Amino acid sequence: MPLREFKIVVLGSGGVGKSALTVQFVQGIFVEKYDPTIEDSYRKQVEVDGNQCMLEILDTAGTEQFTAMRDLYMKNGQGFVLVYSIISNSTFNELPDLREQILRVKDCEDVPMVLVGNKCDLNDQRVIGTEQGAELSRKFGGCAFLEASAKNKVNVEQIFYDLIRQINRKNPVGPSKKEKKSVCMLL
Amino acid sequence: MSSSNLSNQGAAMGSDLFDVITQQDQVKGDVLAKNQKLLFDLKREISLSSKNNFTLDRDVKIIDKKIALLVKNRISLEDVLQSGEALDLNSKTTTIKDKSKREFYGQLFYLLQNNTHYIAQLAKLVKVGEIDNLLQCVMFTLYGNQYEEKEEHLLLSMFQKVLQEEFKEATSIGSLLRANTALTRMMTTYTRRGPGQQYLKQSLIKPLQNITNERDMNLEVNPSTVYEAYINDYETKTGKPSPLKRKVSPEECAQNPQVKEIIAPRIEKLISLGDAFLDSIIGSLDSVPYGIRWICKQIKELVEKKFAPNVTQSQTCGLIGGFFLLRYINPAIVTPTAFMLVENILPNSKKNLTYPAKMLQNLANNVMFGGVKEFFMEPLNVFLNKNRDRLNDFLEKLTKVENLDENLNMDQYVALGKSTETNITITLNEMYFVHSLLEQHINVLAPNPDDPLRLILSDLGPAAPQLSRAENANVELKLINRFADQQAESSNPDQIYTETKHLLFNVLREMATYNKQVPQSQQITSFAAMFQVAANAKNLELQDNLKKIVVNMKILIQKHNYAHNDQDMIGKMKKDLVNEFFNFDAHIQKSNSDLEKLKQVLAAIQEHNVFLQQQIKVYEEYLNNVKASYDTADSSKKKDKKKDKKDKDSKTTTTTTSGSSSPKSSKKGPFKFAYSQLEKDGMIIESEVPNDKRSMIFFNFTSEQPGIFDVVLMYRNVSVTEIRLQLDELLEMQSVGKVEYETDFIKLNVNLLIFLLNKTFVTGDNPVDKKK
Repeated sequence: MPLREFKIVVLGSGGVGKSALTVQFVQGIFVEKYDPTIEDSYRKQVEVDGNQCMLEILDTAGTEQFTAMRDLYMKNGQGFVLVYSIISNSTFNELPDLREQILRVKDCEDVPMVLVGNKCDLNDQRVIGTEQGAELSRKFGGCAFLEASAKNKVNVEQIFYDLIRQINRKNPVGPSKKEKKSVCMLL
Repeated sequence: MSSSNLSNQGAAMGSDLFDVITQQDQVKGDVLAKNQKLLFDLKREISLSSKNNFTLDRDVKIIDKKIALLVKNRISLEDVLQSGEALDLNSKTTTIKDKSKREFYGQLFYLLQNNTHYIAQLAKLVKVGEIDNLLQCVMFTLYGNQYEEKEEHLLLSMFQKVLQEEFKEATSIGSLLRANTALTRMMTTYTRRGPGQQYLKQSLIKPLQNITNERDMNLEVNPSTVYEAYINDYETKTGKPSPLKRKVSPEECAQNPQVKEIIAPRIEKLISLGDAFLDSIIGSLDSVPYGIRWICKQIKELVEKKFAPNVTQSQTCGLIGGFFLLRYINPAIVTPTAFMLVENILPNSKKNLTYPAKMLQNLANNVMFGGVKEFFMEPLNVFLNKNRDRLNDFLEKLTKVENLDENLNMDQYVALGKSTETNITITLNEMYFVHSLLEQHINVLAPNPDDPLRLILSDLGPAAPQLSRAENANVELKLINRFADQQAESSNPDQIYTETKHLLFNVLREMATYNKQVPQSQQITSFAAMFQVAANAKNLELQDNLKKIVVNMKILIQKHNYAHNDQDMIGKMKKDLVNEFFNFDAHIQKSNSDLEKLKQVLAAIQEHNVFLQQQIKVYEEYLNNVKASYDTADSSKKKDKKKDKKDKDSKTTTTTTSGSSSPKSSKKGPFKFAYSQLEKDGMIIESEVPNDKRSMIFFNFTSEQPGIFDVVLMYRNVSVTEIRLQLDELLEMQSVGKVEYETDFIKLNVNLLIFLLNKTFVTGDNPVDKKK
């Protein structure tokens, strides 16, 4: 079985921890310091359900001034991680627009996506309840939802693994199995 | 003339101001007056046009979004056409018929404009969806006169209040100004005004062109991408599969000698491009707009006040850079078309531009490349090391500007005799929108029952609902100060002083013309005599002005200790005025250069306007086409109604062109290729075709239109199935790094496919076909 490639894009407001989640997943290290990202790209090979996968992860700018760059990477991405911070209302409220834009650019209703409430280690400062996140994921057509902590490495791998499985379900490995009127029968 | 010399003369002549006024160079006075009038008109036109552009820009985005939805069949064509029709609301004006309503609104917006805490608080209270509309109204209407110092001053002091709040709530330096909040939106909207955009043009166009003018420049230094591009390039050029293994680890890619060879000169190039950006930005320090520098200064002062002494210079600079570079300069570098800095951008330039932006950003963040983040950026640390001190020095200098009051006084000094009346151009919907927001949040904004805001709102009654776009129109609203008396008591003594000085100047000028007509002995020198003259002449305005001077002087002397007594006070003001007269030439010069600058600004705004109009025209044409096809579809079949843009481009084009008169003259092919040959060439990567059948299979390639290819799979000369290939789609796949073209039963190598199609159809040199 050849190595499959997966293009994953991490999106969300400034300061929610997109880089922290990405670097934690790729390098296994928690970056404590906040440094605004413009656009960083990482690659990592993982094994999911017995298949080797090469992930290309694009860590994007949360700063709203860079929104004009979004169209391009939405077009190229296959799966999307939508991140908010459980200690900030506004980061949560910005996500529906973001999802809407992805669907528009992709021109498709069913795009592999995971909703992530990051910073779940800061439970004492929480303003977005777990149920609110689950509710939003239901509004997002029942997309996967996880609360995570880049700091304590909670649910970090699960985010990316879930996304890979979704992409796999949508485009099964090998020639597509639908429309199986295929050549073999015709021949 | 040295300044000490000047003040001596001023003192000497101060006692006889009339002489100066009568002797003042009438010609120069006229020039200055004319320039001031021109400046005033120009500023007005700029503020109206830039507001116009701002709304136009938003309209373009809205209609763009709606067309996208239309394509997905989410909304009906009628919805889109409706928003398209009402696009030109700019020229429509109206008046509010009800006089008292007009006045109350005039009072309301005067109060909001001059008491900035209302808007500052409101910006934090409104919902996400409301903030943009509110900010548009604030930046382009309430303080829309972008080159009028008073409005700029008020707008900035509103900022100050919001910034202070933000710092009050901050728990650590690291979290400051990072999230997207009402404040950061405000800062961005502010940089979008005329002066901010003008500076971007001045400092960025040149270094940007180093990149955007280069069609073939490639600055990619990510080894994985370079490695793949190298393979693709090899395959597309030679038509042979590359011997290199695909999808290897980034580290392995980086070790590849060819990749190393490609990257090394790009690093050099990036460093020199980064230097060019930095040189240009640092070199244009003096043209950074005052307001933007002032915001940097506020950030610095607030950080130091809140976190001292535990704050380092690099932390402060990081925060200033977080505003100046991250939110102002860098967005313009990565998406220069959105800022009108570059007209068209090549796809390769887009990616290239992210590198200098990342370099500047790390410089401002004071973070080295590499470590746990992108390892391949490490060689660019050379750039960071050699420029860190330069940038920090620049960011420090950026904050070295005068405080608001000093800056304002300097400007008012020039504004001799300016009219105090203020008008704003506002739409009915903006008025109703702000009104309803104030209504909703009145308890927070004005907890006190006799707050001026409450009084005006209760006079106004409930806010009217929003009008449809067709009913909405602009209103010329005269701002009225309802609480003038109370305000004089509480306002800034410097402002009272300047106002009084202007009044005195106007009064003395009028007296001077009177004095010319009477013999020396009867000339007026005292206030009492002036009152007499004003009363005799029944000149109400003169009487009012005199009264106001007396009241203001009383406030200044008794409350603020500005002078010992009236005589002392008048002497001081006279001296100031004389100094101003001696600076006539300087004022004229400054007004000339201001005029020149503003003309450039207006030209840029008008250029942008033309661009936006063109965009709208394109949309209109598109909508007309859609409409035309809808109409024909309607008359024929109903199911055609759900026809989308893509469909039209591909499959349906064949039927429409065959139906119309255009002949199929460009048909090429069929060209025949054996399955086994393509498999051998590495074109076929995976296949579900049973092994024993493969030798009997051929592919027939034909093209009826340039760029579109039909491939028929033939088994023993019987057509089995057909694939349609589009060159655009293949190139697009290649550009995003997809190398496999999947069909129901085989996977093909995109690079080799492009090579084959080019070779067969474009150059006409068919390598395999024997029959044709």
